[in-house]
Amino acid sequence: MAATVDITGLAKSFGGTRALDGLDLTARRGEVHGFLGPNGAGKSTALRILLGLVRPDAGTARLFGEDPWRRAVELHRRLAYVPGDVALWPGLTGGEVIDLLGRLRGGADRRRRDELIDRFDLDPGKKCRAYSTGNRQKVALIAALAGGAELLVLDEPTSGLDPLMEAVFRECIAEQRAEGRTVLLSSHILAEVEAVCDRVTIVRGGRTVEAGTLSELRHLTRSSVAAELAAAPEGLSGMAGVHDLRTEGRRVRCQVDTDRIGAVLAHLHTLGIADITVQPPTLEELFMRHYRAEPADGAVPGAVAR
Amino acid sequence: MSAPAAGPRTAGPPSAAGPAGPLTGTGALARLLLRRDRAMLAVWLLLSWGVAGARAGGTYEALYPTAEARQDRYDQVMSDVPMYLLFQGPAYGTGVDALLVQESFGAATLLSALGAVLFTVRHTRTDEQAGRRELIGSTAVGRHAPVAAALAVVCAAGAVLAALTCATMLASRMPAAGSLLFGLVVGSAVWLSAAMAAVAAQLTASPRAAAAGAFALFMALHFVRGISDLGGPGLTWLGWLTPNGWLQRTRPFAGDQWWPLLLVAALLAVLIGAALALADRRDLGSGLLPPRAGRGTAGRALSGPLGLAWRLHRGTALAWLAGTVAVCLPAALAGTAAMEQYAVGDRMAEWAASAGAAPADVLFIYIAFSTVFPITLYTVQIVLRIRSEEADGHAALLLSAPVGRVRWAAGHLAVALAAPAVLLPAVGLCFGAGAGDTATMLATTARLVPAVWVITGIAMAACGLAGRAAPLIGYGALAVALTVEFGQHLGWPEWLFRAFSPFAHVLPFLGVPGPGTLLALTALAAALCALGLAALNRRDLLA
Repeated sequence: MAATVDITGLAKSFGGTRALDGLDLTARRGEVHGFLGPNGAGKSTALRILLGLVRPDAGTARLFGEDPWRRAVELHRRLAYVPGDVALWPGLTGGEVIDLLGRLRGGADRRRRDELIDRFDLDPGKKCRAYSTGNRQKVALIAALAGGAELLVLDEPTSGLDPLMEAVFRECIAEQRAEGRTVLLSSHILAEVEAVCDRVTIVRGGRTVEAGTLSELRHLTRSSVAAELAAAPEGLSGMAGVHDLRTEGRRVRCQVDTDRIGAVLAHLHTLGIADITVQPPTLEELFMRHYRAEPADGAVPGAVAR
Repeated sequence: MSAPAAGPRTAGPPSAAGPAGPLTGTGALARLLLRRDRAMLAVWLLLSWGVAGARAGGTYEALYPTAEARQDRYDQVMSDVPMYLLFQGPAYGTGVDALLVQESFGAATLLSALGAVLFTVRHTRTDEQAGRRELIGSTAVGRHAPVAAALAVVCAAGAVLAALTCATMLASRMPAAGSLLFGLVVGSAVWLSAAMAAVAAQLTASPRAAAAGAFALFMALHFVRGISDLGGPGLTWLGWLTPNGWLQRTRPFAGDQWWPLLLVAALLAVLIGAALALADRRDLGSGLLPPRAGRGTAGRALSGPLGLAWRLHRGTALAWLAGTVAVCLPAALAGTAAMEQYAVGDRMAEWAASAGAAPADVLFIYIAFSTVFPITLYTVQIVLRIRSEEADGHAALLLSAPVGRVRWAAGHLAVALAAPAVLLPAVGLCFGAGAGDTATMLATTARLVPAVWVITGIAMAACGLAGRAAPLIGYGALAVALTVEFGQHLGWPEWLFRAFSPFAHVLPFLGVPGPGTLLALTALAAALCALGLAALNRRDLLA
């Protein structure tokens, strides 16, 4: 099946700044794809290229198998976009903007629009200049969700939403997936990506560093184990897959490679477990490892003495 | 109002040391403002200086070499050609210095005021609307610091302009007292209009409306003064009601009167006090009118890029139409009788012949022609909305829908092209009602439209080709056209006017433009628009 979004080797510079430097990303039809990276990693630039707003210097981007620059208008009939920094016309009301965008995209379902306004608790009669960041985001989200777009391109859509609205957003994404729609969701909020995404592409410095399903990525990271044992721990330090071991009397903490967790737990069991917490690997650790371990420009901090 | 209490400070930044009052931080903000606008400020100062002082350079006495030439000019201004009184003001003496001031007064004060208004609004209401004021306000700056910093920088620029103008005149060995007085007149135009803009910025939430309102007021007061001068001794009192009249009546080089500057100082104090008092009484981001709720669903018209463009420009466009009628119709009805006394002059007859109109209508034709400049300014503003919609991120949202760039930009362009095609004929109809020859006036103003379109086209081409520099090029094209037009009054060669201003080709006094000229201008405008749209389609959308 052709991928809905297919990006290979994408590069783009603005003046001397290299925003994208060989980005690869594939979002298959019907999946919720997380596009993860720290601030300034090039996520928004990639989305702007996908929308045909910006032309890449090198590499290819394909939407539904077509060139988003040359076929922008046709392709935009099939997608809806929520920008990262939602800017609306200050003199128009939220309801007017929702209707305008719906009509431009070829008509939105009236009932669905009203239902979404209700669910997101938006006052559509207010002028956009009076909305907070979160409310502006809701306007763009409602406009995007109310239409029947095959693809939703969402650029950090929840950065202004409160936890209640974030929960509504997650429900809505789940519904979209159930209806067979594709969602490309850029974010730096790991919990959100873990909660709603099927597959993830992690980008750093304009380049893809990891891509795969959540469980594939989890294999790249480690579970953290904290246990209180019946006896002083022995033999743990030599075990394969155990890292960062710290013992304190009968208490033990360590990181364990995901594929060795069974063996380690079995060993702890033989020692007698009084209390144990095993935290599943999180994207956060993966994220931290990628972004903390090596500075992006390859410089060694503190290496140059004055 | 009370000064915010100084909170406990440990290691504050250097600027935070010292007493905290409503003006705390003004110095730092003024430096920020200078950093942001140093180039633009310099350009405005140079242009204003050029208009205010250029005539005084070097061989100024050669302008009117003989007593006869000076008397001739004096008579033209005072009794033969009404435009001089209306647009420039009266001459108070037959000395070459006094005649020079008479020529420069109108253009110098208006251009100085335009820059002062734009800079003041840019650093007050525009910053507030963009949210920058909030960020600044959260730091240790006083409540009045942003307004005070904007006024301080603009007023300091006014002082520099006054000094430059005075120095230029002194360098030409003009009398010291008159030179200083005229310098202060030009400086006062900056100070007064900046203070008016500071008040306007408190009254309305929209930066565009604040700038347009403040400048329109200053310009309207200039013409109220003109009507007073045109109306003879019976209307002298009217001129004393406007600050422009005070500035005029300082009479530099013709019996220097200093005391009207006291009125200027008093009005300045009142305006600045009003701006600060209004700033105290309102919330950040609001104007004087409370926000109203709107409709929860979109009307039928709001369903495409053209509908959106019309919606965005509607309020301003209707205000322009109403303002045009409100200014032109009374002027036309009231002015008819006054014009007849001027119809006998030789110069008027000559102009009437070249414009193909009755001598009594020449003044109306001249005023109608002069409306192309504000109307062009407005159309450039409409076209540049394309650029600001792009910069504000509105365009990205719109273009993510199945809307092509040409369709999006064409919506704004259509409004921009329609504006002069409606406003100029409206001017013609109003003056036609006064002159009693509606067909001629309508035809005269309709012929001006293609020239406005050329500047509109330049702005459109700039939006496509230049992106961020588009405002500079769009407004620059108009400024160049205006400068060479002013240059005509200063004796610059006519080819300069013809080469750099589309208006030269439709100016009725250089002969009624033929269909070939009008077609050529329209074709040029169309080509520029097409170029702009094509270029917009090919470049990256800027964030």
